[in-house]
Amino acid sequence: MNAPLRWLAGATLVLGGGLLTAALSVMPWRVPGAELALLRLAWSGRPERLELCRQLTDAELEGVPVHMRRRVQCEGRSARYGLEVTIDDSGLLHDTLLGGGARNDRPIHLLRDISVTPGAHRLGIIVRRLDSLPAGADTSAGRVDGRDSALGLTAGGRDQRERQERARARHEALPAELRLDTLLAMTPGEVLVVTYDADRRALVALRPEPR
Amino acid sequence: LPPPPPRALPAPLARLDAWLNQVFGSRYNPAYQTGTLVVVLWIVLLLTGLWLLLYYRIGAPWDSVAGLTADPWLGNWVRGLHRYASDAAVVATLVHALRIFLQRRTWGPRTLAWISGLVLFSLVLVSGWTGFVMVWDSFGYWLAVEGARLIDLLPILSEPVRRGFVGDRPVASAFFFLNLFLHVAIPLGLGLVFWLHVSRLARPLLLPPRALGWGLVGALLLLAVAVPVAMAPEADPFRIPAAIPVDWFYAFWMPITAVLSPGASWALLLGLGSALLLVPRWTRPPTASRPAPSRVDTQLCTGCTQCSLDCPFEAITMVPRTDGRAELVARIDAARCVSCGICAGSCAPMGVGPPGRTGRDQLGEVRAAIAAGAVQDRLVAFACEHGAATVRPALESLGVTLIPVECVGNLHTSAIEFVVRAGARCAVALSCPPRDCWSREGPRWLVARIHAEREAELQPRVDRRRVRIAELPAFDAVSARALVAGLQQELARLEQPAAEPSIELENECEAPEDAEEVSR
Repeated sequence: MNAPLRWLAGATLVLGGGLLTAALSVMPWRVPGAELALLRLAWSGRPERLELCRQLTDAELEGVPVHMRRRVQCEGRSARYGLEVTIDDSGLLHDTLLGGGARNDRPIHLLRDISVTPGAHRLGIIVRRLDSLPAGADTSAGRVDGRDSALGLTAGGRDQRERQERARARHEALPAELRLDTLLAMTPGEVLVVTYDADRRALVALRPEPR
Repeated sequence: LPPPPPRALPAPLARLDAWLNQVFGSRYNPAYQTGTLVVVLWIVLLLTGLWLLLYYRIGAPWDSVAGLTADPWLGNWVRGLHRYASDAAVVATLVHALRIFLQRRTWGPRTLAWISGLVLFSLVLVSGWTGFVMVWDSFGYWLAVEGARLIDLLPILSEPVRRGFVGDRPVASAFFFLNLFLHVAIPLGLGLVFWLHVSRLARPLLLPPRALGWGLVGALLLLAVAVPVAMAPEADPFRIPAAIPVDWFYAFWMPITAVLSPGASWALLLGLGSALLLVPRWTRPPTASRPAPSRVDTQLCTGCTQCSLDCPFEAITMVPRTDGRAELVARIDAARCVSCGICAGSCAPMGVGPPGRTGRDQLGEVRAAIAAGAVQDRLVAFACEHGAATVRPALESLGVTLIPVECVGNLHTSAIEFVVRAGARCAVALSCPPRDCWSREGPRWLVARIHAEREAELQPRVDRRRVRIAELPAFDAVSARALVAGLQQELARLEQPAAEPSIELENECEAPEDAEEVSR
């Protein structure tokens, strides 16, 4: 191979390699499902705690180390929730939601994608608590009186903190029922996110902000 | 016996190598330099990355990169160079791995290099992943979601990672910070793994010839200017784009995982990863056809240390003798010896080398060739089995006597001397291109032994006009014919060679009476 030919071959190789690199660096990929719209259910919420409480007697408490004494002892579990999604009144999804973690006592994290044909639809979502306590069960957070102070139950404001914690957990828990019933007009490639607004204690549909 | 491991690259690839040699010259053939080119690209990536880092904002990832990209004077081409260099790094790494695999340089002492190479490649891919996510455009978003989808299958986090990208709340700054941290830390960590990668090599070559390295950087720079990198639209969790501009060097897997469940994707990844990790196991030849490591004849070893200096794999150490003699003695670490035989070429008294391939064994082969009348007045070629020996028919059809050697570095200069003094018209050592030597340093040491008096040097009494070293890649019959024609033309000007009646080169090295004490 003579020198000009070598130069030509070398330059062609470098140029071809460079252009191929540049092309493969940004070559478009057609995303599967882009012609459809997407309904994305994405929320996190703490399941309601279903527990039966009992007040320990003074004698029982005295048998417990001071730092472990709690007047009210509750036992129970986190509630399960049923999820139903309908589009144009036809059932699309029916599922049971459990709390996270090995004992299902962590928040429920939901993330489901449902492909939907573009166009106008009526979307219905119902999240309903499946479990409940027996009627008349004592769920009270207990009482505090002078005796409790003597037993060390109020030391450092512990009783108060426990009451606040129970109240907070009850407030943060998902309501017994959540509903969303709305009309949608979805375009191809659009993603409608349905999430749980903890402040409003309601399901809300999020759409992209207009640019 | 089971088949021995392949001695050369598959013919089509070897011919491609030969063609690239013609275009670029063997010294600058990029196919031989893939490993060192990755190092150059890594340096380019570190330098350009450092510059880009100054302008990147965790709080506004897309905007900051878009600002850089819009700067036509510096920002755009520095980003382009960074991008194209990272793409080229993947290509160079893949070609490097493919060559090593096809050459079966994957097992035994080379296992560590193979495994660490896989780790390096995985880190390169992960580093690239973090880099593209940093931009937070439609491609980066898709990569983040795909990665999160895979991570979510692992029972690590209660809340799915993918929840962070659905748009009901802003993506946490901590995510971008972690991403940036990984994008800086992984490339720096690559340096450590790279050290491991070459840790079993003596004198590892880290950089390509300067012209090739700068040429690559220049070509990428020109590419960055000629084909500027553009910005894809900003990540939008509320829209599935019809098409995403994908960097296929890093996201070649995306169309596959997009249609597979996370479990199937993990199974594919683990299956492929395991298969690659097990390459050293399943490319290892059966014991019967595995080349034996070198051995030291402790009676002959003079403790000169030359073999330990020449060994390209640091498999030889010098230890005190236990037989009362004052010198040191060479000891072979069989776990590091690849049986290249370079130590045999370095040992003047011919006391070390793989069984059957020591200097004395080579003299035996030469003696057999002389007895067969294949040396006197002939062109005798010592051909590397990984290279020139693949064109044996072409050479022999031109009247060349071919004596194969494992590597030209394995060739003992006494064998050359023997051939010349026995009346050969010329003894030519046909080496692979130095940058493609299977034993790494064979051609280098042969040249030094013949021309620079490196032990075991070619003796001054040998007629240098009848000794040649030539490069001849595997399967390059065209170059082989041209080489022989050129040599014959040159040799025609010399007088007829004279054969010495009696040559006893072994006697010049004292043979021991008790040669039983052979140690590994």
